Amino acid sequence: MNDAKETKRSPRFSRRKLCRFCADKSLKVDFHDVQTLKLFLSEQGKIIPRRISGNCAVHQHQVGQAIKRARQLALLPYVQTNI
Amino acid sequence: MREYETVYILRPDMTEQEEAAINSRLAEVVTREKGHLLKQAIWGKKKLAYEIRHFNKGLYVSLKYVSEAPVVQELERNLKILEPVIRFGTFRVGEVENLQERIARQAKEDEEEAARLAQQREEAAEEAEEQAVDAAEESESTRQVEAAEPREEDSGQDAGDETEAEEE
Repeated sequence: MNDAKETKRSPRFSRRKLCRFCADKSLKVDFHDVQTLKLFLSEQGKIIPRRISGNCAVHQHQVGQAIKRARQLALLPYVQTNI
Repeated sequence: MREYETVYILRPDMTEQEEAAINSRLAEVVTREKGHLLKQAIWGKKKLAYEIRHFNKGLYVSLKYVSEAPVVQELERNLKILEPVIRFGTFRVGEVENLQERIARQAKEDEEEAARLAQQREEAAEEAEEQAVDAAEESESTRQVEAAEPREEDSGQDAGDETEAEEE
């Protein structure tokens, strides 16, 4: 059903990205795991929206929570100034 | 009963004894309040993503425990009082229905981690050994080169002397 929707909606655009946490069930969102969370941050340290990251709603929420926790503990920056 | 994780950051310029004193005091708070401490993990000194109280580095320590809510309050009260704690955060991990099962799982995880660390250490030791062997071989070869070089220099100097003598 999903496939039909995609092809109908956007023949022009590339295939919709899969949520990587759904694709690989062994991956867990965790605020300790800074390396993984960095994949969902822009250069300035902003959280990448799910329309671009491709995350599903559940996992995007978890990623956002984890990033905010990591920011409180100075594991991740609020703003990245030295680009 | 809920599982919580409290992470706190200590200022980086403390002695090991001071760090140990604070860590044991905080661990004691959890057990005194009848919480069950699962693990106290020292992550080590890490670079902070931004400056806190003019520090760029901090010692991260995490406490995992299963308890009721008042334990969190008491622990956070202590963290506020302690001057070397530059930042702390408590995060709810989830509900724990079977404490014994959770303890067993933690023990298993700890074992696995210890095994992984031991393996890493072994690999690192092996690598270091290989490097030492390589370095020894290299230094031997350089020594040979060095041994060969001075003679050349001597001969060069001799030649220079001769030319100077000729000029005179």
